[in-house]
Amino acid sequence: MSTKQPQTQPPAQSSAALQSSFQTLLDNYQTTIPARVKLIDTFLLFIFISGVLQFAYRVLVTSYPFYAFAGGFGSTVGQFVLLAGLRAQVAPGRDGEFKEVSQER
Amino acid sequence: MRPYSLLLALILSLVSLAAARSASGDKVLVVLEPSLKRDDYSKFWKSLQDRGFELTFKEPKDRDAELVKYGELKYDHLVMFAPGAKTYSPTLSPKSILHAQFAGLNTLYVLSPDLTESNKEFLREYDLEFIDSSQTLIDPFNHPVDSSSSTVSLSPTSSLVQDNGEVVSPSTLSGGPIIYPSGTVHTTGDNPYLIDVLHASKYAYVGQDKLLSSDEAEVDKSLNAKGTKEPILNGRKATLVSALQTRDNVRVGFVGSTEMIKDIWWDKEVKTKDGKSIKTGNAAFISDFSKWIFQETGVVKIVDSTHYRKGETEPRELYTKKDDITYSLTLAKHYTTSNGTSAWEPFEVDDIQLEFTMLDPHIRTALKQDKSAVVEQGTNFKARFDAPDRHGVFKFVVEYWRPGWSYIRSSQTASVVPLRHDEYPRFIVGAWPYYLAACSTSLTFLAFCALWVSLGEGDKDRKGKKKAE
Repeated sequence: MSTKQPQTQPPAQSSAALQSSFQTLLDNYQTTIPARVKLIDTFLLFIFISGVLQFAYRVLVTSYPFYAFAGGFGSTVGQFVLLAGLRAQVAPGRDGEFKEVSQER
Repeated sequence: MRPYSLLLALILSLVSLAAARSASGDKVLVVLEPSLKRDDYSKFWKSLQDRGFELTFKEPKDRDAELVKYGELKYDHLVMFAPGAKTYSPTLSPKSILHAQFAGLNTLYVLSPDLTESNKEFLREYDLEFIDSSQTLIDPFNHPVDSSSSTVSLSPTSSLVQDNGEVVSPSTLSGGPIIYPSGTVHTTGDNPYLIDVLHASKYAYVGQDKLLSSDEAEVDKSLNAKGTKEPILNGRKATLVSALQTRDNVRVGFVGSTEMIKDIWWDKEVKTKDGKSIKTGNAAFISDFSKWIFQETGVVKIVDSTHYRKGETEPRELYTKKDDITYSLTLAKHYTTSNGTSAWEPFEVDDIQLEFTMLDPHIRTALKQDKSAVVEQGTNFKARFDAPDRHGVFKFVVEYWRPGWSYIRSSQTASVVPLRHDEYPRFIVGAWPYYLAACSTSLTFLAFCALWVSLGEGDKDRKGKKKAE
């Protein structure tokens, strides 16, 4: 359907297509992803931003008490890795891969 | 009765006042060769006695001339007036003299061209090399008109005396000529503890003081033509008076002429070539030199040395790195008061250094005079520095070696340690983002757990489905 009028309004067309696909992605995410996984994703996003900000601060301002940086940055990285692991287990459709892990984890 | 005892006390106190000029002691042993007459040098002995010394005269072969008795020095100073002595009693052998010098005996050697081989051998221990016995210092241009050319007149004194602290006083340097009659010459070796005091002028040379007959001159000429002439020793190389100060600040002096101490040159007037009469500088020079040898001048002592951290007064065994440390050193110089007592006065110099050393000096800094410090007798020097960022056992080292002064050496040990676990700074402003990040991660984790539990119901469908399957 969209391939029939490619030349007439290409930017508007493609941006509209991009917008609609993005909308579809969001809709799909909101409807199909369980609430717990959404919670994990929110937390992951927060930790990711925190880590990036800390690294930027370390590069641009100071790393003076290096142990403070290591602690702060390390906590975000560690939390991110553990949380990503949890998300891999609880995401829908992954039950087959983690048979040995009980549901009451 | 009472006035008598008072008078006695007064006399006693006067005696004790007069007998305390040297910083080390006032007992002098004079070893005088029998061939030398004691009365010829009476003015020298008198000058020593006036300065508060007790003189004891012995001969080189006297067996009772003991330097050390029961392990203690019997005399504080020794005058060896025996250049021609071939043998000594065992108590005065070179070995026992050296032994006594290690224990603190100051020695003045008075030498002459008649120096025996055994004496020369011994003086090589001090790194001194003497000319042949028959030769003397000769100066055909500078001598008193009524004396031969071997009675060398050394003037101006200031150009022939090395600058060696307090060995020779400024008044002697600007005073009359020093008459050096029939004296021997020596060269000083590389011994760093030796200092030249008086050397010959560039017109003086070493040789035999006699007129050659025509035959002898002929022979001499033919010998010289063959190149047997020895190198000429003159000027700065020809040392007449030198001194040595050991690491323990024991002083040993060498005077190359017995004649120059004789009464005939002591404060006498001599006629120079241009007809003027000048008072000789012998008395002043010999007095200055013997004062230095007998520890009356040029003596400096450490009164106190300490170190402390900023805001404290006591020395610590441990300093933390980057501590603000102050090192304080008090020095005093010995001097003789006008009534003949020994006293200490400020010693003001501006080139003392402190080294904070662990194998190598990690910090080398100037010790500056602290005029605000209250010191009774002496001068206070201070240096302030930050402890290096290096852990280990350090030493505060002051080494001040200047010719003509006592060697000053001081060494104190202290450690520099890192900060203790609870001494590091906390809650640094620049680190607040990191603190906040760590705390927020923990807090959001708690919130996450709470939400995770409360959202648990969402899974029931999935489980139900699973069971249904």
